[in-house]
Amino acid sequence: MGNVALALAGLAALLAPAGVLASPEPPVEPRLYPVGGRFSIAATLGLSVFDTLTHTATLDVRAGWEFNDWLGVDASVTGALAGHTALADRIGQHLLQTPAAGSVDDLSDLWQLKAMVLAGVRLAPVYGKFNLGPNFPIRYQAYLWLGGGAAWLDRTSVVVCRAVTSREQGTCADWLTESRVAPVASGALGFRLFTGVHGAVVLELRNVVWKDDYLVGVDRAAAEAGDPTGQRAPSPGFTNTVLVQLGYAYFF
Amino acid sequence: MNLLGALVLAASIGAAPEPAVDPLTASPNVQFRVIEPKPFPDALRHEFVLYPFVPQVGATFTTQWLSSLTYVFHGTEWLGLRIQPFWVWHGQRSRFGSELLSRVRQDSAAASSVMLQWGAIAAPEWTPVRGKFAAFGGTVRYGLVLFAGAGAASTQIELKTADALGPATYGSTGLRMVVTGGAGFRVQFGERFTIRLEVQDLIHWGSVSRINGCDPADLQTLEAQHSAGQVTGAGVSGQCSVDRFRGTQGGYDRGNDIGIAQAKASEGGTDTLNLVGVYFGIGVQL
Repeated sequence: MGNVALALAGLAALLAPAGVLASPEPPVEPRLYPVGGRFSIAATLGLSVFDTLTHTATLDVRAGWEFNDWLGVDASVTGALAGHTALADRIGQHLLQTPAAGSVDDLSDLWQLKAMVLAGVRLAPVYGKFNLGPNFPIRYQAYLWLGGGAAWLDRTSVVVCRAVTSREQGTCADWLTESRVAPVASGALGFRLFTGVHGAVVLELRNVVWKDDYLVGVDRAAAEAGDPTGQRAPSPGFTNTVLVQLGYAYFF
Repeated sequence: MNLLGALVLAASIGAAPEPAVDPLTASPNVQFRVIEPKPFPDALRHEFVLYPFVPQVGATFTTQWLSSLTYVFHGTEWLGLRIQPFWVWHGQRSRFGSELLSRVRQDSAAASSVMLQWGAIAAPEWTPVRGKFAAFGGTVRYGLVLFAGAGAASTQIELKTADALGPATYGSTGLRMVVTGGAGFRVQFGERFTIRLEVQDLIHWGSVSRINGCDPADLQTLEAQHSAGQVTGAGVSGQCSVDRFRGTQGGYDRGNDIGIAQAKASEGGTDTLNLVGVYFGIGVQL
């Protein structure tokens, strides 16, 4: 009896129009690692890329909350080690080797990141997987992060020297140094490569932008005599620092 | 579904009342994986990708923008060969280079200021990872693309920056070997259309010993003729393009470039230069 019923069902399926029973979309696997409604903490190490006058290395710790699987917020605290590139040092050296005559403008993009606090929104519309080898599927989430905060910045000029040590060797004992706290805007494109329900490797390309500030019309002779000289640039523009960050996030 | 019906019908007719247990499926050492076939195979197909605007990122002394029309032959699903001609239609001193010149009166070394003009590279292309992701309610299929290769390119150097005296002027610094490496994502839409987002580095190196084919001795001869009032070209080597230093360009006397070219060709030194670009392209697969 059972076989007869099965045969009738098979016959009905054969005679039925294909479009009625056909499923146009392949079956969709549910998310193996949902993040909605969960807290996370993460730590990342970062290195600046496309360095011209300064280079930067960062360590940040961040805490986040995911409203759902595609929208979340997080806040971070960043510490940074930054310095002049060899190119910046050579520019200062070559300038000092020329006689201190006339006025010069200081260079832009010389502020160095020391610390930073950021808060922002993460939009993660992409969730997928790829295979590393035949039996090692990686689930990941791609996201766009936008936010802002404040940065603690230091600056050492390569143009304004207040005590020349050697004109021939182009060395200076007292470059003009400044510090300030400035508002910053930041955007990031990142990936979370899930290692399990509670963890993910974080890989991120982050841009940090702040308004520049430097002196123009510096009388080099007056500066080398220790006298105040120059005025702030009226339109200094903005400095972009691009960081590649790698870290790990833990989801509670 | 008709096929499914036939299978069910066939199975029901031949079904035993109590089918025997398959020893393979019952074994804990056997796993089954369902593999979905690629809906749009790539093997033995041709792909043309237009990269209309490729901005350089991380420029130091020069800024270059280019366009490229790339041909890719997909030999297998995983391996292909790309032939990539490119044309650098915008090349000039970078904002940083201009700042150095105007603020502290320092110019970058000639060997560090060479720009690509046009060229072509050939590179094997490997797609080691394929995947799909869900986004905005749909499924997108993609491949991670890696490639590396080599080719040749014509190069040039900026002699005079654009200013009140006239437009920027350039001198040819000859053909150079170019090596390249890149990575990116290739997303396929339907059977024929692709979108690519790649980062590619065009690497070239060398010194500047000739400008417009003229070596420092040629340029010294030409400079003497320019000072005397007429660039005749007498006494210079055959490969020196004297015409490139004659006439005017936007009201600027090209003869004034001779002294600049002589200084740059006499500098010496070598440098390795990178043109890292972000390539966003739209492709058609045939």
